[in-house]
Amino acid sequence: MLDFALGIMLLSSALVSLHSKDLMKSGVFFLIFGFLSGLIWVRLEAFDVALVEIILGSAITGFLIFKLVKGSKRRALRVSAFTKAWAGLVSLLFFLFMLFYLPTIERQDRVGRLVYENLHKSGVESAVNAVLLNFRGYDTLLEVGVITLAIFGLLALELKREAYHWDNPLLQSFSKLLLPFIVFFSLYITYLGTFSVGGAFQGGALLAGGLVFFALAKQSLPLKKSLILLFMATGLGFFSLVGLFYALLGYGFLTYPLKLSTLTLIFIELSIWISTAFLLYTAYKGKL
Amino acid sequence: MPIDLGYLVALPLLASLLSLIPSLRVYTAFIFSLLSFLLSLYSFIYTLMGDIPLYQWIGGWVAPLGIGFRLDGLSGFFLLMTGIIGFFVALYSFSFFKVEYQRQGKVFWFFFFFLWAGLNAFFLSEDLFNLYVVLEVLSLSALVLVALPGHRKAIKASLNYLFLSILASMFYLLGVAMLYANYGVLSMSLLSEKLAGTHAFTYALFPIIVALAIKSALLPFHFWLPPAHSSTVAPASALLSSLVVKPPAYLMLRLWLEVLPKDKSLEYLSIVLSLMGALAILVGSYYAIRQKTIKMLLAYSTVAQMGYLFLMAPLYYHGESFREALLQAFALQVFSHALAKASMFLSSGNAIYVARRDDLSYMPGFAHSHPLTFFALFFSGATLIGLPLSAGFVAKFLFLGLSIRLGFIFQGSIMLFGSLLASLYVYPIWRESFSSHPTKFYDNPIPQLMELSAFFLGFLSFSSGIVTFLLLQGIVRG
Repeated sequence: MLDFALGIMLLSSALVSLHSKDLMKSGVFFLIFGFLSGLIWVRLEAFDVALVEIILGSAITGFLIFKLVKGSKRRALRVSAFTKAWAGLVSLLFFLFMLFYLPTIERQDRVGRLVYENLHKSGVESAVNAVLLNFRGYDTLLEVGVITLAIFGLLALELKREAYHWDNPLLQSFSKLLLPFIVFFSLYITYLGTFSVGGAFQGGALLAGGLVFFALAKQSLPLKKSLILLFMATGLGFFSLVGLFYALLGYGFLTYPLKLSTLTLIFIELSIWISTAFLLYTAYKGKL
Repeated sequence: MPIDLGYLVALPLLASLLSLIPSLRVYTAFIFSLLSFLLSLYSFIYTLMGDIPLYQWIGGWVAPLGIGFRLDGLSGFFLLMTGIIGFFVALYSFSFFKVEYQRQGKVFWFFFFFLWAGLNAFFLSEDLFNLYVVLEVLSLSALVLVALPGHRKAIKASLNYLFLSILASMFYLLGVAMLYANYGVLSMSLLSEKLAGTHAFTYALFPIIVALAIKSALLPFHFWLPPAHSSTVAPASALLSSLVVKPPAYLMLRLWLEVLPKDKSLEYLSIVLSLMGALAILVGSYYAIRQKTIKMLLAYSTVAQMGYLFLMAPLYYHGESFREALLQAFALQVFSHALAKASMFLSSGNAIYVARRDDLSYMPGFAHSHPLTFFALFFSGATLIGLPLSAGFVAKFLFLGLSIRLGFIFQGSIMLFGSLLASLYVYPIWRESFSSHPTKFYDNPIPQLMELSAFFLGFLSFSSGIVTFLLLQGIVRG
């Protein structure tokens, strides 16, 4: 019943977001959409995904959307009838396709059992992070590469956009007060990743939220540009260096010896934490 | 002795980060492009001599749990292709960004090395989800390379490319998720074991094939390619047109030959793909003939040349017994087109450098003033057409022989007709190279490196036709 209600709400928020006359309203409903999909992840017991989805989908995206709306001269989404028809047709086809496909799924054992069997050899206690950082660490390395690539691409194209902020003295002091707590809390979430729900991406996204809030209140970080750049590159750089290091030692690319694996993984988590935070922060600012 | 295949991915990644430091940029670019080239060469030589296929499980986690690298004849050959083109484009870029587009030269290397890492990773990976991530890496770095000049046209082309490639990625991911839901594995080798002998499941195939067709610009989805490949700077165009469109086609061949079961619906699909490929050859060549600017011409020619890879889809389905010859023909077609197209785009960069515009009618008379660039255009053009001795000729010859033996006369004749059309669009470039009309005679010196790298790529694309027996040895071995 709850799932049904969530589904209806999700769909209606998407519809309202697409059809509202006001760009800001569309944005707000899009955020609600993000939040609801986060709740659905919770219902599916994928707490790690839910955490990221809620932070990214309804907080960071929110800042980005507001910035975009403020900078844009258009007041509403204008979608041509042709686009609507096209999108509708594709969705319909997709729906029909899924209708025929879904009954063919067979319930069977996938790699879940294997993950739990090998968990003690991975260096972390949480299954999600064992997969993320060890079993399929190579995927994560490339994913970190993808975010790095996206944000550096943004910087390389030098798209000029004014940073959007609120001028409010209360907010300014509040954001100053809040930031240290967010830093610690995000570190805690990152650290939690080694044995429970949490991890570097979640922590990093949270810290990015804090940093963006800080920037929104017209504050600037007392960091040099080159240092921010270094932070942004840390995740990818450190991760690939670790891979190379173990390859040079003869263990093999991204192959951690059992004794060192926990330590290595914690350092990798920290590097991803800091670079995720600063990458998303730079994505919001649009420049270094 | 096999090397750790991880170097092939990690070193270019590291290089891309190091190239962000201004004082190290030139050294990083030179040392790491040489290193990556040597690594590719080494892996290729390994496929000629060592034990293949070579599997390396990353982190020591074997297939259903972990991700594997696989080095075999085909991937070794494509690594070599990536290495050669990467190296020569790097050499070209040293000079190019010194004399033009200095601002873009600062950021070019980051995306260049990222692209290189992505290509190496793609040719080595044997895990379908990992391939998705690599596809993302490829299309994001390609996206920035498209938008590099920063003018309106480039940004628009790159946005178009972004939307289409995101759509394609979603399709691909959907297909992979469906395969995983039903079979619980992502590794291609395990999947082929699970699929062997069955023919119940084909749903997942459609999203994957559509995605790969979009990414490699097959006909109804080709419209993003010409503006994207023609509006950017020459070295970036060369990379995009020669390398970035190839991996999806490679993956399609892999899936087709090694993973997918024999199924009737696959046969129909192969016929549809073949028709689309035939149309791509005709339409792409037609538009290429009609173009007035050299870069648009080359971009449309890419659409046509990619068509060959899809035109032969029924052979992939039926050619079980000719597997070796098929792989050779496919590999050579990709290789020859990649080298020739890279050389052509680099030469077009030379032409634009001299003439300051890219209209064909303003093309400098290279045959008089810059013989090296002229020979680059000549050799690479000959390869695109498929004149005898060139690698393009050998590829088309192999394809033709196979299509006759398997009874696909239509495909064979379309291919021959395509060659004829190719000569029609290559001819204007050659003709203009001889134009000695005084106003079109530009005598500015082009930096030596820009001419030499274009020439060597063209020369290699042509002359590799003579040594194909050596180049394809790895594929013969497995």
